[in-house]
Amino acid sequence: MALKSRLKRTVAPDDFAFRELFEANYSMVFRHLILIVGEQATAEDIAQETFIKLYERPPEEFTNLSGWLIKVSTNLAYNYLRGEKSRKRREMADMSITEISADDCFRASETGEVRDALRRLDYRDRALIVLKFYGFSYGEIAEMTGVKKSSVGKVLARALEKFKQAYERKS
Amino acid sequence: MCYEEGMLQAYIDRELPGRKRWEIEAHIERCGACRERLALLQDANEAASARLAELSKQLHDNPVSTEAAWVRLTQDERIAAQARRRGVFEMLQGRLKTVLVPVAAVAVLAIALSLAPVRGIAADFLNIFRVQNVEVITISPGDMDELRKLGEEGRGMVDIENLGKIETSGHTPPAQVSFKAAKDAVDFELKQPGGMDGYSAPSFTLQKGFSTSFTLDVDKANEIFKSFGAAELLPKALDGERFTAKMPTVVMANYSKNSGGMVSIGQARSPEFILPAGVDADAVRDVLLSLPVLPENIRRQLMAIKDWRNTLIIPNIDGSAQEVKVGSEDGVFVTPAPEHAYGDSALIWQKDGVIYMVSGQLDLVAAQEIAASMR
Repeated sequence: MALKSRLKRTVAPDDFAFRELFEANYSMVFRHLILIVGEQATAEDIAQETFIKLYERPPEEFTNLSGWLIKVSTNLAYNYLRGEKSRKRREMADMSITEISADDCFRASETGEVRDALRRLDYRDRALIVLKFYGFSYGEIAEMTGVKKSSVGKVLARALEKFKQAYERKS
Repeated sequence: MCYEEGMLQAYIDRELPGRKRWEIEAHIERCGACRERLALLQDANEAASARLAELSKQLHDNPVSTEAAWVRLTQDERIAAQARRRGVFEMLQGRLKTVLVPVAAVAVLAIALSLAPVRGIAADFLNIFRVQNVEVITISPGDMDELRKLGEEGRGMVDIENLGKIETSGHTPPAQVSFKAAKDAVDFELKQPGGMDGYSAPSFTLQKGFSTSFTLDVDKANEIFKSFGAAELLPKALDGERFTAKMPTVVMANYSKNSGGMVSIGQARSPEFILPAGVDADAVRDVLLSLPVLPENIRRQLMAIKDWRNTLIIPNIDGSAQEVKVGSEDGVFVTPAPEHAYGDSALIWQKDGVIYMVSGQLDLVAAQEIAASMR
């Protein structure tokens, strides 16, 4: 029986089939989200949403489950960050404060310089760099981030340059 | 014609078709400016890769609390709502579900199993059953193969929802509560383990009691039973009858281990199973047990349980469950199958009308020690 129908049929939250998938993949998804959204509590929330999606609507194929999880979690993170950005804009307008970092949620915290540098980038740039680092194709990156496939190269090149500058300024 | 950075980046990432690549390579041969741009880009790419590798290593050095995330996930209402619609006893404590076979004919077994853990207190118009014993039946690899084969033939694809209607009332999601609130929520004295050295102070989760009713559609059920080749069918009189399972309030005390992992101690009254007036539970049981799809070995064991009305049956798959002693009481120790290295084991027993469960990554001795220390 295909794993999908097995999962569909048998997954109760304490079932091994689902729990096993959760235990095998949770930390990967969480670490990925830490890179994208920066903040632990938000990363935990979005990781949870990702696994609820897996539970409710598992993919057709399980051959590349980690790819699927990265895609779904990136999409969710993106929606969240986009909402966050516009929420902050609205708040800014209300308070007429002029300076804003779009990514306050990537707040300064524990780890080192690389993270600082990454943190200083816009969330779109950050996502592109991270996804490329994982080895996703431009087509997949486009699908996950909504950046046009034909623009991925350009946006990525600029993002990498900014990342480099941010890092060098720091060190 | 010079190339802008996006194109060069795509070249580095091997995203361009062959012909375009050659064009760029030929151009770079001749154009110093593009060569320099490409070199800078390559530099930025390599630096970024190196830094992300470093960062990702850092992140890997920080442990992620998968256990806590799992607990939180299972408390999400969307997950809980799905779980609620499933079997019967596993709702008392979902972990039990882990020993049920995730394949075919589960529906048949589920009915047999959920009718089994019952005790008739012959009230005038209701049959109320409570769990008083726990017994293990052994499901051999051969039985599993048989069940699996049914699943592959599509005959095991029976959801209990195809046999009738399931309704749940009074269910609320589990909530984190104080010890006092947990204590007040049950009508028995909560016990606490003695020496939990190396563990945090417990947090308490309360799952309030609720009830689930199953209204049987005899025609549908018999149709399915017939497709299984059943000779005996359910009597027409059962049509539209409501079977109710009253799930007790469950208190879980969760102790986190400082070195990671968690031990949970659950306490609850027995669930109750209520059959409508005049339903001959033995007759229903006979029909279910005579289903030809039930492997002979399982049938024999189910038949052999004399006090079936008050016995909770735990299937033992590949040695996953064994009958043990907890003090002077009979109990069952359930371990995850070997391939599920991270699964929890559970020790379950009942005493003075309360069902207890100790679960975590524990071996029998450790679980028995915790059980023995409970006062």
